[in-house]
Amino acid sequence: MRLQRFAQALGILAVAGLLSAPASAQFGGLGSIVRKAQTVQRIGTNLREIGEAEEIQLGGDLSGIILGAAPLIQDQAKQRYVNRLGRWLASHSERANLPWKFGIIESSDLNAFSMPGGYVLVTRGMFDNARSVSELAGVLAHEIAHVVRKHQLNALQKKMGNGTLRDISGLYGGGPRLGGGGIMGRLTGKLLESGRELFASGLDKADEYEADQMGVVIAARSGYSPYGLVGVLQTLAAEPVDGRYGLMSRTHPQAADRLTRLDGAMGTRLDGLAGLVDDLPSFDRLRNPGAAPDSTPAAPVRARPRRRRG
Amino acid sequence: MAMRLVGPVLAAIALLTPSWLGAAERGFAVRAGELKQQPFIDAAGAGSVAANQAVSVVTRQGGWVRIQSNGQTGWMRMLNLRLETRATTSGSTASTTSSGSTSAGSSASSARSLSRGNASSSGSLLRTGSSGKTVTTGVKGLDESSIRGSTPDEAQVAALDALAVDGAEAASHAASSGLREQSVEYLKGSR
Repeated sequence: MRLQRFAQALGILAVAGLLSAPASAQFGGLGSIVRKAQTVQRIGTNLREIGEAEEIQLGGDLSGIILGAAPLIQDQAKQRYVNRLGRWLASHSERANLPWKFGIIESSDLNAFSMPGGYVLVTRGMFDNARSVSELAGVLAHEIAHVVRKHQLNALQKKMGNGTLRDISGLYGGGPRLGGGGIMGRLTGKLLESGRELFASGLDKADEYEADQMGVVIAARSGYSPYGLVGVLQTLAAEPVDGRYGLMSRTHPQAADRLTRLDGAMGTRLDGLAGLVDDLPSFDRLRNPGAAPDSTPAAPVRARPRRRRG
Repeated sequence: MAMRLVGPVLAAIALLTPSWLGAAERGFAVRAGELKQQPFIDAAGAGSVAANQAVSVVTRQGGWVRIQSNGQTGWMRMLNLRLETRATTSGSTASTTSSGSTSAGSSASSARSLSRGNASSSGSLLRTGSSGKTVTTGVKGLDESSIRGSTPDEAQVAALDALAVDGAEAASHAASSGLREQSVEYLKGSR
């Protein structure tokens, strides 16, 4: 199982001191042993500081939980589209070089998920119900912001507590004993359990507000109207909470509160940008492949803020 | 000159509006404010709305919504708009299903897709990616119990990994779409 592999990777890396490879090369012998101990300690105290390779592995494992409940839709054109769009958005964040992956999953719910290391999943319901590509961009940019700020790693750390990860250092105090069940098996189980709990209970409200405020900027940097996310939040604020918005409504602050916060943060600050795109013909064609060609405009639909000069 | 652009832009927006959205959205203003003749801040006035005044949304553009209310039509800032709560529905997709003949459950999902001419994906809606199991998530929703009961699907993760595109492909697609990058700082307080 992937989680098992992730746990083993954590252990192997901790023992080999690979997380601090340059330092190990510099200080051999006793120095590297000290360094190993420090590395183990660091993992034990803060999951946010695991290496990027381990973060990506963990993100893939956690994606497997969501995908086990709702698999990818089998529409390569749409999957390719969200990957091009998502990667472009992520290129305008602080973690542009992660191997970002985006997927549309088979659920009519309105929801989206992100995992450490650059994994983002959006439901078919969210994709289909977006009024425009800028709304989809707003959702993806919000999820990208969670990954950039390592909100999930933070939450997982809290859920797992320090004790479980400290087991790693305990295990390796007397030399490496990898594989099999034992502590490693319990660690794997705990990771899986914490991941499920994370998706079922959500992130801190403050993290959601932050992701909203970063998301609108990431969208604008990428050339999309920052008001796409506002439109999505308006949709969510009008949804009954017992239907397709059920899980998301229970794992996020109320959409009306998110709108109020975003209103306060945005004001008119992003209104002076020129040439931002509300919607694209390619997005319309993707969702309405049977539409008559002459009904599809050839050019992007742009908001055109115009101000009198003077 | 500005006026000449409005017609084509509005026409384009109208064409892009998904037909399945159906009737105009209804909402209300969260605060009193002026309506504008054009969707920008220093456009001429076109009346006003009071706090909590009911409005119908005609279209959206950038940070603006064109609304009708009490016989007036004009542009209002989008952040001033809240939508009316939708009626509770038992089926998760019923509100946007355009076909009245569909029954509940997974058949509603596929019929909804078919009704929009999306034949390419409709067949796959009934199957999962790797295992071929009948999808039930579209019926019961992706809720806490389905997540807590989920067995991680490694084959699906591999399929997701295979979807990744690199930055160059994304940039090329963005350029051909006419997207224009902007230099924008994060909003104060968000970092």
